[in-house]
Amino acid sequence: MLSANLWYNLAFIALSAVTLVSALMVVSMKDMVRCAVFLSFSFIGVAGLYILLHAEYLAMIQVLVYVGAVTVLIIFAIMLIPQAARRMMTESATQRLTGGMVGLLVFMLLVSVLLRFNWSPRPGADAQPPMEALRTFSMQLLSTYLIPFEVASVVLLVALIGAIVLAKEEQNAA
Amino acid sequence: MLQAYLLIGAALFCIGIYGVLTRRNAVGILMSIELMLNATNINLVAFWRFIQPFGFIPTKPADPFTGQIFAIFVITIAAAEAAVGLAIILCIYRNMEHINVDEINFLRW
Repeated sequence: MLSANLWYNLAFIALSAVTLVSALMVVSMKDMVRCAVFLSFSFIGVAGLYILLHAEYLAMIQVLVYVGAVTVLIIFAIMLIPQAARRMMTESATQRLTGGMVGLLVFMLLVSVLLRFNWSPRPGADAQPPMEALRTFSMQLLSTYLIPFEVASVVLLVALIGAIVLAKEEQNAA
Repeated sequence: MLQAYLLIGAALFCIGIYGVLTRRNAVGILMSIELMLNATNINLVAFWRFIQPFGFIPTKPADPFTGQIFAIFVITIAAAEAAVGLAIILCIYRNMEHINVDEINFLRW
């Protein structure tokens, strides 16, 4: 039991390290293609954290949607923008200083709030999920949250049409 | 354990804030926004796991998976936002030959 707990902690530390280090690379690298690749590593780390949290279905969705679709979309967009614009990511030192200070300030605020509150988990939080968890999950998604589910499909359709309209070449350029 | 997850979420969110504030490239800003959305998702799932467990506890909640479903909706909206955002960036690039957000000032009022 103790060794299982140890493995859990080790996995948690490794996955959060992957997530945070890749995220730092995303915001500090010069080349946008490398940023996109590190972004996918960060997403994979978050998917691992979901598995540790017993949200396996969400981890699968994370890999499919974020690693499989969003990152590829970003890489496609970078490829459509020539090299010259790609390299123009240099920030000034004042920008970095201001951004770092604001980020650190927000982080310190959040941490002070986190440490002040007594987060006692509910009883039963350590237990394994029941076998029919995914079934309950889909039942809930398609009964209680049916209307948001349908609205999400409309949102996706609108986003699809909007993206096509925006990205289309203008025909009457001449 | 919940605190550790919340700490990771907070750190990821602040890295995203740093990226949004420092990047001049619009695609870089979009990537940082994705990082921030992931941080909120970690928080949602962690709260779901530790504050509202699976629904086999004595007082069975009516909707045991609300946190995860919220996270799924966040992922859906994030995907739509990425698609529309990248299309807008392509459109701007076609008009202005660059995507530096501090030089894009053709909005009129």
